[in-house]
Parts: sequence; structure tokens; C-alpha cells
Amino acid sequence: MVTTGIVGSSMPIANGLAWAAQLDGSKRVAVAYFGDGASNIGAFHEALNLAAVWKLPVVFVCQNNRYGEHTTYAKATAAKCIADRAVAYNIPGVQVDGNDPAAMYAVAAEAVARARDGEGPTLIEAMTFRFHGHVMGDADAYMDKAEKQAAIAADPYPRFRADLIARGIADEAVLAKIEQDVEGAIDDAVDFALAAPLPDVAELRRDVFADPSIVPQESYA
Amino acid sequence: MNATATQDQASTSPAPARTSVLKALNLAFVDAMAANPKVLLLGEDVADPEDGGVMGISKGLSTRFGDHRVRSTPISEQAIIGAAIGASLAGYRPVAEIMLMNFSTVAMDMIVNHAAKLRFMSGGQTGVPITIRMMTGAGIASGGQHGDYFESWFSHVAGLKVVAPSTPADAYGLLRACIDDPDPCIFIENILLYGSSGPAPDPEAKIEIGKAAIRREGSDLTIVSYSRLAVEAVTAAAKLEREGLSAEVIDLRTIQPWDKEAVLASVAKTGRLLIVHEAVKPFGAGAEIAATVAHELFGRLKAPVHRLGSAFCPVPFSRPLETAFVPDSARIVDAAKALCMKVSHEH
Repeated sequence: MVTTGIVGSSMPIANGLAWAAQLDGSKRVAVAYFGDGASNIGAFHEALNLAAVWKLPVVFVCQNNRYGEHTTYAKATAAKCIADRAVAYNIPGVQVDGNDPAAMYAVAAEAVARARDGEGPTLIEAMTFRFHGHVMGDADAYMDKAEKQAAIAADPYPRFRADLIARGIADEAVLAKIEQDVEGAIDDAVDFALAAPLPDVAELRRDVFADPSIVPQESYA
Repeated sequence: MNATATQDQASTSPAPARTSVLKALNLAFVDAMAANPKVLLLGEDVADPEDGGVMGISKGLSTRFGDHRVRSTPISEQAIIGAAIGASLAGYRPVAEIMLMNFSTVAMDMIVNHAAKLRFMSGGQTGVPITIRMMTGAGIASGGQHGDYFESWFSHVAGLKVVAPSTPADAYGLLRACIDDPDPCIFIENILLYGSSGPAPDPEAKIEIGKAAIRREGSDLTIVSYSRLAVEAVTAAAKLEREGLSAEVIDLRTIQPWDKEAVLASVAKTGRLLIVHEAVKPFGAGAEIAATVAHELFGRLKAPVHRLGSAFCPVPFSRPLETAFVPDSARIVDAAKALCMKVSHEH
């Protein structure tokens, strides 16, 4: 469950998906993603408490990028780290280098196994950074320049790429082919979207309710 | 145990001829949960160890259907609605109890931004078939934070349906209809009506969301109401009859979508409309109805559309203030007579 247009909304809904998995007796696990800013919203605390009390198969993944909108972590969050907040809900809280895929995998695997075994939720705090402002095109004047430059210099993507080659897991040609395929898929999706016709205004009537006849025509005027 | 008694009554004895709103709601749950294993109930204190709900409406349900399907929750309204939404996305039919309507304000993000909009924002890839029950109503000195009517707030959000039954049979039928509905429904229960008696529901008789009930036929004026004041309107109509005025009483039962056809047909016949609701009058549901009727029947109205609602203040605690706050049958009679007098002056 990714975030919606409302910061902090993913956790309560992920609980419902996890409840359904629990009722079904399936081994599915719900994963809720959110940022450090979202951990200051009441819904975070309600959701973690409920998930813990009901032992729901859910993993809460906080991407701590050190800014909530334009405000730094230090100015907005009293907790020393987000993972510490797990203590209040009597669940494991783990801080991990979110820019290290192997470390991230190990932590996530353990959390998912716990959830599947009926032991309830885990809170993972994945430390990361953002290379751009909160809003597309914002000048990010509020971000510390040196901090941002250091984070860009430690970009996890080239680091992981070099690591894969150094460990002999993949060679340059294989990685270049993957990159080319991914970029191609993105280009195709963008081309498809740009070539698609704009929606007909009749779509204002669609999907408000399952039955479009419920709302009278004049209500859309 | 009461829980067992409720069960046995529901499963083995023929339905009694009359019942209460409270028992009708319990029966609706029993029948819905027995018919569909995907139906769930969650909310504060709803399971049997916590007394089966603060009013006892869900007594017996967790014992009969299991505490995995009927779950008491922490006092966490956002978490309650969020869990209902999530389970509905995975194929369940959750009913979330928000105890009192005022507490829904704590969960508005989940209700307004998520439950109401996920169908539209997903391009129809998913719906949110949940029912959110909440009780409310002035008249028991519960003060300013336990008795508001917020039906117009919810009716103003595209994607939500809003129902407010006033009889046991409607409470049963509309709760079943809401649970079966593919869209999120707000189900409003009036606290004073729980004990009120009426004909027992016929489980086979479906009540459609959006269809009003004509409680009494009449020719001089139309009174439109819903929830507890629909009962007051029927009482008022009986008094009016003794004074020589014939009032047609329409119980909307559903506020969103409201039964425009039934109201327009009635007002086309009577030429006069009085709208009565317990929500405060300014910006209430009555304004939408009045505007629609004025627009559709302009020139055929014998008098201006009149609205009665509660006073524009928080629900007061003090008995005399609370009594004065909500319209009652006496005030409905006065307003109806004044409305009909307007005509006689014109003639």
C-alpha cells in the first residue's frame, strides 16, 4: 500500500488488507510505505497500535529522507529515530541503510517472515535522502547544500551497480541491457500516454458510484 | 445470556409481529453475516466480551460468527475506517461502527478522501463496499459533542450514500441494502428510536437505497423528513387532520441519493412543502431539497417552501435549551398551519 494524496493514509488501509489476509488464512503480507513526515500524523499511531493488538501481517516501511515537505527531521520530529517509535507499540523497530539493497532485503525478509508466522507487524526505518524538492520544480532552498551534495555523491544506484560488477554477479553488458530495457519501457509508457486521447467530459459521470444513473444529469452541470 | 437468546430467536422462532429498531438491527446483522461469510463488523466494544456494542446492537454476533469477523477495536476511528476500507479492497463487506456521529469527524480523511473517492480515482478498478454505522440525536442531554446530525456533510461528498431509517423494518432493510451495496454507505441511527416499536421486518422485502416511503397521504401540504423527525411529522399530521388540514408525510429514508421523484410528485399535488430535519437549518439537506423543488415546480407552488431545522448552535445540554433546540410535532403543526394560511391570505 503506497501513500495516497494524503500523507499518512497508507498505514490504516494496509491494516485492512492485512486483516483480509489473516481472515483468508493466506500467507499474504501487506506492506505500507510512507515517509518520516507521515510518522507524525495521528493515523500512524492508531494504525501501528491496531496492527500490534491484532497481530496483523503487515510491514510498515518508513522511508526517512530527512525532510517532511520543506521542514527538516530535527524541527518536526521529537523521536531520536522513527524506529524507536515501535517501542510504544511493543513491536520490532529496525533502522537500516535504505540505500543498501542487500541490507534492505535482509531486514525486509525477516519482517515478512514474522508477519507470515503470525507474529505481527514490524516497523522498518529505511534511511535515505531525496535529490529533489518536495514539489516538482521547487528550488529546495531549504535543503542544506553540502548535505544534498554528499547524498548525491553517495547515490545508491551507481554504488550498487559497481558492487554487482566487483562481486562478479553481473557484467557491464548485462547491466547495460537491463538499463536499456527499463528506459525503453518507460519511453514506451510515456509515448503511449502522450498519444492517448484526452478523456471525454462524460467521464465526470463515471465511477462516482458503481451505478452512474444514481446521480442526476444536472448535478454535473 | 442475552447473546444466546438473540441467536436462538433469530434462527429458530418465527419473527415476531412487532419489534424494535435495536432488535431489527441485530437481526439484520445475524441474517447478513449468515448469508455472506465476507460480512464483517468492527468498532469500539462491538464484540460480546465488551457487551456487544455500547447499546447492545451487536450482542451475540461475535459468539456466533467468531471474534475474527466481529472485532472490538481500540478507540481509533481512523484505524477503524482504514481497516474497513482495506478489507473491502480485498473482497470483504465490512461494517464499521463509529459509535457516535460526532466521532466520525476524527475519521474524515479516511471517509472523505479514501472511501468516497477510490472508485473514481482508480478509474473504476476498485470500489469500497463498506457501511459506516453511527448513532446520534438530541434529547438525552448528552451535550454538544454527542448529538449532531452531519448528514449534509456526507451528502456533499461525491461517492458516499447516506441513509437514516426511522422504523424497525427500514432499519433492517436499509442495513441489509447498505451491506450489499457496492459503494460506501453512511448509516445513521437515532438514539431515541432504538427502543421504538414497529412492524417486524420481512427479510424477503428488499428496501432500495434512494427510495422514500409515503407514511401518510394528504392533499393540503407535503411534509418531508427523515430519521426521528419523520416520526414527529407523522404525529403532527394526525394533529393537523383534527384541525382540518391534510398533510402528506414523506420519510426520505435516504438522504443521498434522495428520492426527488417522490417529493416532486407529492408537491406537484399539494403545492406546499415543509421540510423538517434535526440537523441545524442553515446549509442543511433541506436547502438542497427546497432549491430543487423551487426550480422544478416554480409557478406551481401555492406558498414558499418552508424549512424547519434545529437552532444554529451546538446541541445544548440543559433540558429546556435542548427541548427548544430541536423541532417537535407541535412546531411542525404550527409551521404547517402557517404555510397553509399563506394561501388563504392570497385567495
